[in-house]
Amino acid sequence: MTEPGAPAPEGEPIIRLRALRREYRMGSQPVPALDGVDLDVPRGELLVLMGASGSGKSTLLNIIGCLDQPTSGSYGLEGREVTTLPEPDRVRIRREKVGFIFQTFHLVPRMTALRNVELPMVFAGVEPRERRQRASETLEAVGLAHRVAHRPPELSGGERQRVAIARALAMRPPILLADEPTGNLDSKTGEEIVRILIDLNARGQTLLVVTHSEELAKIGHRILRMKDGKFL
Amino acid sequence: MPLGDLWGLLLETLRTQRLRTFLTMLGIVIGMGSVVLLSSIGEGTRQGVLAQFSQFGSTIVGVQPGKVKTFGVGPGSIGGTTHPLTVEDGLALRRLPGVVGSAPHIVGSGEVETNDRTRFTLVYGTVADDRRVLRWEPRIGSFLPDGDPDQIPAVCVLGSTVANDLFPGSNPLGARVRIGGTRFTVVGVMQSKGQVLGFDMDDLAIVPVKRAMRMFNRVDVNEIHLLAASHEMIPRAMEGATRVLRERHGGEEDFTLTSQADVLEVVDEVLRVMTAGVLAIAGIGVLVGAIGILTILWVGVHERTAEIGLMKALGASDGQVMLVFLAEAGALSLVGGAAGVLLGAGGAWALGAVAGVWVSTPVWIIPLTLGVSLAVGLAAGVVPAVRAARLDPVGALRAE
Repeated sequence: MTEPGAPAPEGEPIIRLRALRREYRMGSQPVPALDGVDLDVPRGELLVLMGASGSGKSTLLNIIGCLDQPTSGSYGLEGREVTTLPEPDRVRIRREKVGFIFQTFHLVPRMTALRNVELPMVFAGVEPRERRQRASETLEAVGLAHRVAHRPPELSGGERQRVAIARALAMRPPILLADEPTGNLDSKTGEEIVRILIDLNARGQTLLVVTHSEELAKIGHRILRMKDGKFL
Repeated sequence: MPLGDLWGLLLETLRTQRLRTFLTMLGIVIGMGSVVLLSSIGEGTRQGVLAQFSQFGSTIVGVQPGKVKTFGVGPGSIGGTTHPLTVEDGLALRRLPGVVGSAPHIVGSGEVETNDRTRFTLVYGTVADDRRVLRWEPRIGSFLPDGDPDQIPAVCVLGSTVANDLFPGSNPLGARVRIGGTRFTVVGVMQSKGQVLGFDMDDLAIVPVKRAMRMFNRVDVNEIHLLAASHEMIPRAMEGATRVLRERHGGEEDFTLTSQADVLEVVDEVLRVMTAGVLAIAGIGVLVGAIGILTILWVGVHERTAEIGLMKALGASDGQVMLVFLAEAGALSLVGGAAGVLLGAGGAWALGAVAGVWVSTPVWIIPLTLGVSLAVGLAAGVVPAVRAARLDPVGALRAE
């Protein structure tokens, strides 16, 4: 996993942030979580965001994933301004443009691996037959073909995160957002996950990884460090 | 979101929480079960009472002496005069168009004696027409003979209880009995009618009306039963009866006509109101069930906060999140309602079979119960569902 990142791709950025601010209100005092962030992410980049807790990296990831709204500034996704979009369009972005991978996996424990991967396609209204087909293909791609019928409690941590990656990939989003994807895993299992991420990127997947593991950071084409809501 | 997908999500949730699902539904099951049970009893009682009333035919019009359309003191007691109703009044009414039977009758009680046995019973004096009016046939022998009431021979027809009591194991036809000191020949025994509204119809002796009047030293009858040819003929029969009786009573309307249909309508109305009242009480149970669903769903939203955040991160719209929770509420209450229907109808059936209670589960209660269950469940689900839909996904995902 110490492989050096390949040279960063260039071209029209898929993500373009300008003067992005996000403030939270603590009493009467506005506290900035993001304090004027500018960022261009070219298609196919593997970008690593680092920083201590509260530095604003998760907020940035949530805004890019349309889970959160900036207080001000501009966010362009594939050339389209996102900040002014109405909610239904933002839902569509969450569905089709981004896939989330979480530190704690966030699998639904009562559903099988296959059903978990199907879930985003259920919300997107993909036909059941096609859905199942795609879900099992995606699980196969992350090496879990033999685990489709298992529920999360029957899976190891690494397997769970692989199910989560398959779920993030199910809708074939152009952007993958991973928030501490190895944070809950031992180093050996973490390595498996990292290999999968590198693999995905090698096939052109744009990937944003938030971590404070220096080890994981090495896989990035570019490492951006954050502090107090700004890039260092 | 297609229904099938919603159903899939639902099953996965409810299956893993079987006990909770069961307990949540219990309130609705009990509430709806009691609604069905009580309405079955209410409807059964209504039908039972109506059947008892209408077994004598619903085209009967009763003629009573005195004008009793208003409250207060009985007729004739303050001012005015009340002509008694007579057998001749009854015969006059018999000739009216639309009237197919007229039975002036008198009721008293007396002893019926054979050589070795005596029974105190109801003595019912009437005419041959009453057989048609009451829709009551002799089991053996014949009813009172037709003809001029003054010329009817001293014959009697016994109720089955009286016949069995006085003539155990032997045929009473042709036997001589003394009723109230007068000799009668038994010509028939009536079919058993059993209890009608608490009154034993089989414990009586039927004698010609004029002989009964003499026996009780009366010049008038208690009541005249008219039998209209059909429902449609009732108003015409009543009109004619009023005209004829007024003429015969010197222009005074000192009698009252009551059609059986009117009585039935009143009884029906009373029983309907009673049933509705009982149902309203059962409705409280349904309300409690609804509160149960609301509570459990509210807790569920809280417990599944992270999952709701996840759903949103995976591209679920607020509407879809709401739908998932509403569907859960709807399914819980609908299944609960269905179980309640089964339980209530089964309970009613058992009550009828074992305890002999009058029950009849009205068919319309089934769609009504299911509809109300669904509506109540959805209503109870709205608040938790809206709360789930409005959760901020970032905060929700952090909850664990």
